[in-house]
Formats: sequence, structure tokens, C-alpha cells
Amino acid sequence: MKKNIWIFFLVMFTCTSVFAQWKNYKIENGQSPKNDVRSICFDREGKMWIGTWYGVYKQESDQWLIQGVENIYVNTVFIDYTSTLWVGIWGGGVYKGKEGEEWKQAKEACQSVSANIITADRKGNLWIGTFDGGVTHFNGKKWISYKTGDGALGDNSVQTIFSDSKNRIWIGTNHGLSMFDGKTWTLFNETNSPLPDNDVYSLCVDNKDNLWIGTCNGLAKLNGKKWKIYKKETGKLPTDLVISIAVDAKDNIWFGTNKGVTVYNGK
Amino acid sequence: MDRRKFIQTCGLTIASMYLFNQTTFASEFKRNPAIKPIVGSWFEFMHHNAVEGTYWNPALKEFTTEQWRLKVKEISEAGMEYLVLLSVADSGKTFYPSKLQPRYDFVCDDPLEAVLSAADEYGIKFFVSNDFWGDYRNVEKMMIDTEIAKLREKGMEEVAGKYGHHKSFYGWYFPNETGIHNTIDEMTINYVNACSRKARKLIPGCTNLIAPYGTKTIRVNDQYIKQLERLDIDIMAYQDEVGVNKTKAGTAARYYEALYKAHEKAGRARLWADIEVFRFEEEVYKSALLPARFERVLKQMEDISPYVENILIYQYIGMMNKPGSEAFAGHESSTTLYMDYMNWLDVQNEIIR
Repeated sequence: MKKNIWIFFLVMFTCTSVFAQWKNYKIENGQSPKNDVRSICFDREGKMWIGTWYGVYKQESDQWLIQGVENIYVNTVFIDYTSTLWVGIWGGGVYKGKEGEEWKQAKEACQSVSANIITADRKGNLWIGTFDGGVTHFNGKKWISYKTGDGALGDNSVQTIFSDSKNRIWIGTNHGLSMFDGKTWTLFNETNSPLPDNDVYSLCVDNKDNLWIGTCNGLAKLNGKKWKIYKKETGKLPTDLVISIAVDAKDNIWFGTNKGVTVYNGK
Repeated sequence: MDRRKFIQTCGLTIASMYLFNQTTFASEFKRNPAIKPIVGSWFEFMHHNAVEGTYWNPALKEFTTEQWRLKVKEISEAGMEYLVLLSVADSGKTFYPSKLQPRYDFVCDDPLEAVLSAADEYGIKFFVSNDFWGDYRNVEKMMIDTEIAKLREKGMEEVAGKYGHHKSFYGWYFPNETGIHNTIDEMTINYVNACSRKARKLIPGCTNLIAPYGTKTIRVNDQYIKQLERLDIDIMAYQDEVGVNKTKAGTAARYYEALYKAHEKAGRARLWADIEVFRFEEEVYKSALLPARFERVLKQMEDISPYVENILIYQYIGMMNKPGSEAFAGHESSTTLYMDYMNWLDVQNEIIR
């Protein structure tokens, strides 16, 4: 019996050693805005770029190299299909530039002093969500601005944007979730749908075309017209506050909250 | 006691405790002593931005002295002990009989006297505003213009002379909002320190408060600590900026944690929070303010509680109303926020109603 227990612990230890591959990175020791990571993206070579509350860093071997301007408040970073880096700054709008080049301000891309999210649709065209200026979209030829007044958005404070497999654009605002199919806009909010809260903080689509919607007060899954709501009370999440969502290659769905990360295997 | 009786007694005790807990915590909330309650709020006689104040400005104008008294009583009954008066004047008119500017033609002749008297009665501590004697929108001018500074000082003298005898006159609030980008600038230090000097001359021993915004853009470093050391202020209630959509609920803790360390090192101003319990009806800064859902507010409170000494809110007036209140001012949904908060507070205080 004793022998079996030792074998059990040995197996557990081995498994833990093999599978536990978490590693923490810090740009700087101690409490620093450089460690306050707001956004992550990868370039074509698989190198990681991060947007921090101090600037943009690129990982080279074990080093983090500052890129562009320092002492800025980076909310979002995105590298497009032309390898151009786009940087959304709190209090600074949007800047763009290729590696090694000086950044240039992209005034036409941002209708606000602050950008919250930069991403691209399935065709690679950019979508930029701002603090109070709605959404700006590059359609391959020119920049188009969408605002609440156009009947498009819940409001002009855009928290998150995601493009699904049908190239529909989903936009999370502080007044609900907007969807643009290229022609018409649809708004989902607490009044006209089961959306658990109008403050939509995070979005992601999994491989089954489920749209995962993280709000200030619960998580929702939408597929077609079918909604499913997940709340803390159901024991699935540590909190109802879902700040970020991502899907990995095995279709596990990862939920970032202010109380840790929760993973769902999608089954 | 034999073993059987002992086991029976233990079983009954456990069952009783379980039932007691079920009764006590029948509410949807669970008691969490780590979350600090709301101990105070901003207060106003008129919201300075008419659009934002759509749902309560008209009612406040019609408030009688008795209604102001009731409003203070209601706030006190909600467990709050601090009130921060936003302004004693606005757009060239005052909220009390003054020799410096004409008075707003409200139903109550002297709202300031009404609320301070009520605060005396209910044990509320008031931070009395020393402005807005000029255009509040031009913050820089309000801070550096010498003519406005002279008028402000005259105003402080008048307010202290007329109302300084109230035991509820706890201190002053300097309302020209200090936006901190990177660090506290010299203009702010000069303005705050000048206000503090005058405040202490007029009301010795007063406690003074400011409420900076830009909380998330503060670079908490040695320079910031030095500026804190130079700033002559007793309390800094930093805005959490959730209501204005600048910060997501539940994510402000990192800022307050860093500020906690800085304030500890500087050893001067106490660190409080000013959490926003409102949301915009439509566009941020361009539409009416409505009460936020309590679930959001609770997340804001839980998030920063470990790092701040006290939580104040912006604000009770307009955002919270006791159902059936004779001093009702605000959107109808303000009773929901009030009731949800009070239910939560009961659970926190283990009160069974």
C-alpha cells in the first residue's frame, strides 16, 4: 500500500513537472507600468509584441526591447498583414509604423483622443474602437467612421471588437452589443435580448461559431438566436466580471477576470 | 454529559447555526467583511452640468428647508457620515444669501444653512466647497487667475463667517478638479496649498479634501511621492472613473494599490476613493446621469477596498433615493440602487429586517 502511494505521488509530480509550463515575464522588477500589460500580438515571425502602460515592447530572445515612443499609455497593439504596427494610446490616439521606422499619427483612424481597441476583420481590414468617438473602419480604400447617431452603435464608447467567421463585426460598448454584417447594424442590449449587462467588455468566437460575450455582470454565449448565460452563481466562473476572452488551438475558451483565469474545454 | 447527549447537543447547535445563517443571509448577497461600505457622498444644490442633472435638478430647485433636512437624514440613515459639497456658487449665483453674488431663486432661501443644520442634528461631517465663483469649465483659469482667487477667498470668508459655527463644518473641499497626468503639476500644488492656507486661517483644525481624476494615468514613482509631500491637503479621494467609461469596473485596484504605497511613503494626505455610481443615459459627458446597477458598484467597492481608508461616492443626490422619500430627486431607478445597497449593507452589518 505504501509503495502504491509513493508511486502515485511520483506520477503526480512527473505530470505536474511535464505539463505545468507557466512562466512569468516582467519588463522591470517591482511595481512598474512597464509590467502593466494591456495588449499582446504576434508578428509573422512569431515574435511577441506587448502594449504596456508605458510603451510597446518586442520580445527578442530573453530581452524586451522598447519600440517607438516611451512613457505613453498603450491600450492596444495590432500588427496588420503588411507588418505595420498599430498602437492605440490612452490620451494619444492611434500611431502606426513599421519596425525600425518612426511612428506616425494616424489621425483619420481615430475619432477620439483615446483608442481602446485595434483589430482586423477576416479580410484583414482594420477596425478601431475609441473611448468616445465610436468606431473607425478601413475598407481597403478609405476610413469610414461609425457613431451612435448613425444608428450603428450602442454608444460611442467602444470596449471591444471581434470579427466572426462570416466576417460580421461584433462591437462591445457601454450600451450593449452591436453587430454589423456589412450592410445593416443590429443592437443587442438588456432590453431586447438576454444579454446580462449592457457593459460589454470582451468578445470572442470559438470554432463552433459560438460568440462569447463577457460583460460587467455575467458571461453570455450566442449561437444564431440561441443564448446561454453563465453567472457566478452557477459555479462556472469566479466572478461575473469577464474582462477578456480567447480561444486556443484546441478550442479551449479562456476567460480573463479580475479574479484569475478560467478555462472551459468547450464541450 | 454522556457521549450521546454531547453529540445531540453539537448536532442541534450546528443545525441552529445553519438555520440562523440561512435566515440572516437570505438575501442574494453574501457577507464579505473585506468590502468597505460607502461612508459618504458628494452633495449638491444643483448639478453644474444641466444635461447630466436632467433627472434631479428640477426637484432640487423646489426643495424646502424641511426637504433638505430630510435628505440629510436619509443619507445619514444609509450609514453615511461624510458629505462633500460640490459648490457654494455656480455661474455667477450662490446657493446661500451672499453679498458677493446674487442668490439662486430656489424655494429654500438658504439651502446651505438647511443642510448644515440637519448635518449638526444627524452627526454628518461636511466638507464645504470653496468655489465655483467663476466658470468651472475653465479649470486652469479657476486655479491660477488672481481675480478669481480673490473672489474665492472672499467667498471662503463669508461662508466661514456665516456657517463656521456649525459643528458639522468639518472642513473644506476644493472642487476645481485636479486632473493628474503623470504627476501632480505645480499649478495644482500652488492652488491647493493656497486654498489650504486660507482654509486653516478661517477654520483652524479643519480637514480638507480634493478629488483628483486621471487616476489611471498617474505614474506612481519617487517624483510623485515628492509632489505628495509638498501638497498641503488632508485627504485625497481619487476618482475611479468607471462611470465615465474610462476604467472597466473591477480593474482599478492596481492604481489604488500603487497609490496606497505612495501615500504611505509620503505620509501626508490620507487615501480615500471617490467611486462613480452613475452611468450615462446615452453618450459619455453628453447625456443625463443615471444610477448604475448595484452589481457594478459592488465590484467597484470590492476592487479598491483593500487599499483605501474610506469610500465616498459620486453621488447620493440623484443616484439614490429612499422609496417613498418626501425629498425625492432623481430618476425612478434611483430607488433600486438605494434598496440594493441597503440590502447589501444589512447583510454586511448582520441586520435582519
